[in-house]
Amino acid sequence: MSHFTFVDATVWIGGFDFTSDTNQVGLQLSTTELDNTCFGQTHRSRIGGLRNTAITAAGNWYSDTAAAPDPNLYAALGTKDRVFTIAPESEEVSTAYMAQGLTSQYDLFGQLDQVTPWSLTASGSNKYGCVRGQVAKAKGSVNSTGATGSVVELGAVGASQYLYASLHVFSAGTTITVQVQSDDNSGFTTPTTRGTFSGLTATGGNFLTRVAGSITDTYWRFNVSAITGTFQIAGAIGIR
Amino acid sequence: MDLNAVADGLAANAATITDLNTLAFAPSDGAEPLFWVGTAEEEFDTAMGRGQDQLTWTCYLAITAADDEAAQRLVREYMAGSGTRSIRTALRTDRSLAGAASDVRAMNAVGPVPVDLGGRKLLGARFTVQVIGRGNA
Repeated sequence: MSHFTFVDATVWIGGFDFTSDTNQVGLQLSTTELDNTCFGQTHRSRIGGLRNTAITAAGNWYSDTAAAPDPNLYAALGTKDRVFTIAPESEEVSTAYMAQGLTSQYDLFGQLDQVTPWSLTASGSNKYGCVRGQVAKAKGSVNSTGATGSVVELGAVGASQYLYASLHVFSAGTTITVQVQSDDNSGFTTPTTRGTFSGLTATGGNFLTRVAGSITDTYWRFNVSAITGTFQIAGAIGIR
Repeated sequence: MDLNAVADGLAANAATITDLNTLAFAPSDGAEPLFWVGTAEEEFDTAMGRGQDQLTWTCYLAITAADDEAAQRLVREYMAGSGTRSIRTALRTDRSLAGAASDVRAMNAVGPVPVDLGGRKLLGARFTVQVIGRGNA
């Protein structure tokens, strides 16, 4: 991977794929600076404090009954722990950032002679913050059991680390159960299920209950263990 | 966007003006009054994931070989922002251009100006038309 033009970012929020309605997305990861300078020192010293996740996005506004930016953003305003997955590129195995956030601002419309805009501001809304991982399943339809998406090599989960995953359901059939599996080889000859999104029946964003390390396996994937109907899903897996 | 479908849509919208001939391409000749869709400037990737492209078209209107007051007044009727001969209004008759685009808007008009139609200099106008649509459609 080298430098690339920023035209193919992926923006999944809850149960809607904002990608093609977005022309700007930003992720601001920060930590407070705590000054611990003491007498006798010649330079200030600092340590990191609490981390913060902030998300901004903007794009082209339109409205519809459900599958459009407006109804999703309007309904999400003030809702805690909405699942955000943002990737700078769209392909599976590309880097992705997952977070649960609170949309605190939804801006609509603008000035004359522009494509009607929207923008949002959101912040991390729980202790899990932002997790860096990879897209393991690009947006696509599934209607049968078995592995879906791509195997991602994330490394092992250390003793002080956790496994995280996001799974977005953009359109729902009757029910689906998706497992997060690991293995010590990319061929997944001996997979182990580490976490499960159980019995999903509706559109929306889902965040895996994090799984504590240590786990020595380094390869990860999604596996559909049960499904009735056709679902359109996407998701990412990460370790922190 | 399918540029041919967009051009067809623009010509079809303009054709809602009574007695106006329209073409989706630049003609080598034709019968006036004639509106045609000329050159396009395409801006790619105005939204992520091929979500949107933008087209800026130059379209032409050739009305008459005369250049007297009556001819100039007639051209101005086509250039008006509203009215039965308004190109601007007609171009928004079907804003989806039969499904080829998301929206269409005439941005400006210049005229009366001489317009070349098959080597003949006719009095007419020039229009700049903006079309937006899904890049992956």
